[in-house]
Amino acid sequence: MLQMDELVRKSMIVVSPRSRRSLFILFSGMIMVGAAAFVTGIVGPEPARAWQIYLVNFVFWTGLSFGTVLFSAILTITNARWGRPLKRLAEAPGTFLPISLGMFLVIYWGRENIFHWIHEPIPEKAAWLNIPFLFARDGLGLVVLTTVSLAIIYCSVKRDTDAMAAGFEANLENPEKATKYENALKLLSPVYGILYALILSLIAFDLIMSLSPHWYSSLFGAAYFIGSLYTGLAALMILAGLALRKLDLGQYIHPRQFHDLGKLTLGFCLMTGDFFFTQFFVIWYGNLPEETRFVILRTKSFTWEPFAWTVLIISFVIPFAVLLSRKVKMKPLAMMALSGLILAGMWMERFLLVVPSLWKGENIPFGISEILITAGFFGTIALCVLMFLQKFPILPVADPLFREYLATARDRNRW
Amino acid sequence: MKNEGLIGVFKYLDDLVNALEVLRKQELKIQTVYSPVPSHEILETLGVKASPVRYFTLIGAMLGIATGVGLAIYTAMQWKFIVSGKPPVPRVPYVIVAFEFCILLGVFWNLASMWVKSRLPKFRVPPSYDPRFSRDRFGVVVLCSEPDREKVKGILTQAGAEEVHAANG
Repeated sequence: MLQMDELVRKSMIVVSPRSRRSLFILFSGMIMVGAAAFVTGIVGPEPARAWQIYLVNFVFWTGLSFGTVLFSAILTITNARWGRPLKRLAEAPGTFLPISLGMFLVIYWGRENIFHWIHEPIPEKAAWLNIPFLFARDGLGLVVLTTVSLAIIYCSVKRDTDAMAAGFEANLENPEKATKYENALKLLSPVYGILYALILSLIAFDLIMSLSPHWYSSLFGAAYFIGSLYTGLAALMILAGLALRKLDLGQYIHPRQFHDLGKLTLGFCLMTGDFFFTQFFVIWYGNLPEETRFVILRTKSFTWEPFAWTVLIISFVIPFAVLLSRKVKMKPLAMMALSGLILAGMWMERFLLVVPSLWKGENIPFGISEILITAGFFGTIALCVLMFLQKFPILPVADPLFREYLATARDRNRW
Repeated sequence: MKNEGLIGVFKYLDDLVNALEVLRKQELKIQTVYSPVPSHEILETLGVKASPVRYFTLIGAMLGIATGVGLAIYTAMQWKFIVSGKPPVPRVPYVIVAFEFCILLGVFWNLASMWVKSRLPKFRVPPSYDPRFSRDRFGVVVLCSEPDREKVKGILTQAGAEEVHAANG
């Protein structure tokens, strides 16, 4: 029988105060160093470099955070039991989203360095590609999507904190209040799923595709939001591994979660690869100069060709080959390493999509300032996750399906 | 061999797996297990090695890739399918041909090796088989000598078997 007290106690155990302090200092340090590097970059001799790496990190980390929240929404939509222990971990990076909204506004000051079509307008696209309309529609889109994600996180967390405040058993007897949140989640999750696809497509078209304003690919938006879910799943795998190894939650997160999350990651690995190939194939066949130029620059130029192959190998070929094995999927350490590789590969993919459109130099613009700015973004999201999990239960303790999962999990499926 | 075995019929997979664990611990001889669905739990409990069918599927899939690419190259060379602006033997579209052939031959080899491995078709149904095992029940056939019968019966019933009866009727 399930021990509720034990569960509630465990779900509130987080990082010890000492390591919390050192992690806090580490992440805050990363943020400050990143911000300093960014500011010195934009006032320095090469502002374009600072702005392009800022944009790369913005599209990568924002997509990742929306992707992990989508995992939580998918659990609600599909009524899934298996992934419930990971629900709160999936919601944690969502706390980065309000900050990301502010980061989007910062792009406004870099518009001259980012959007070439300001200097060389394209008359036939001017109705769509103009600064006021772009920031208005993307800003509105991000506000809406962020609001829905925060509402999902709020309902999910509030149900748990209410249940814990009311005394656990009492709340189980009287599930009326809990049903209110459940209904809200059931309404919000499908809405979020649809908005996720629409708004992230818009972000991809406006913030990545429009950097090469003559180039277009209608599948580009889908490739971006599917890739974002792929990065979200990889990030979730790392969080699950950390929760298991560092927070001692092996009693609630079982090999099964890793196995199923691994299968899902394999699926989205294939889908990401497929969407890449589908775009590539059509462009290759059509052989139209305005379409091929984008691809040739990235896959055939002296500067970018090895980089492009590296992206293909580490974000698709290696994960595909490794994830075929059933046993590997159930080894948290191996899966964390692989997820780290996937994240690195997908980050490089975003870099490959953004930077060649903006950078005209001979070498790949990757140096110490790029590393520091990236670290700043990482520090921000890591700090958000840490503070969120510090404050709220790390397991969805009042989620009926989570309790159902624990009640049916057999000993042989545990560690 | 008459009356040497007992069949336990189970409604739930977990009960069956519990029974198998006990039977194996006591080193009783499990002749066969029937299940309406494939289950990793049963295989793991029985300690059965994973089926070699998957390797045949892999071989078939790789042969498929080779066949697809080979056929595409051969036809392109034989009939000179020159498309403007494309090499005579283009690599990009062959990915699709390779993919389709990979699936096709993979499936054929999978099916063929499964038939051979399971020695299908079988015209004689084993006497312990029960049509329910293809519907919604699990079954285990335990070989045991006369003195062990009560013990096996006890284990199966304890684990939650719906019924236990002799294997040969």
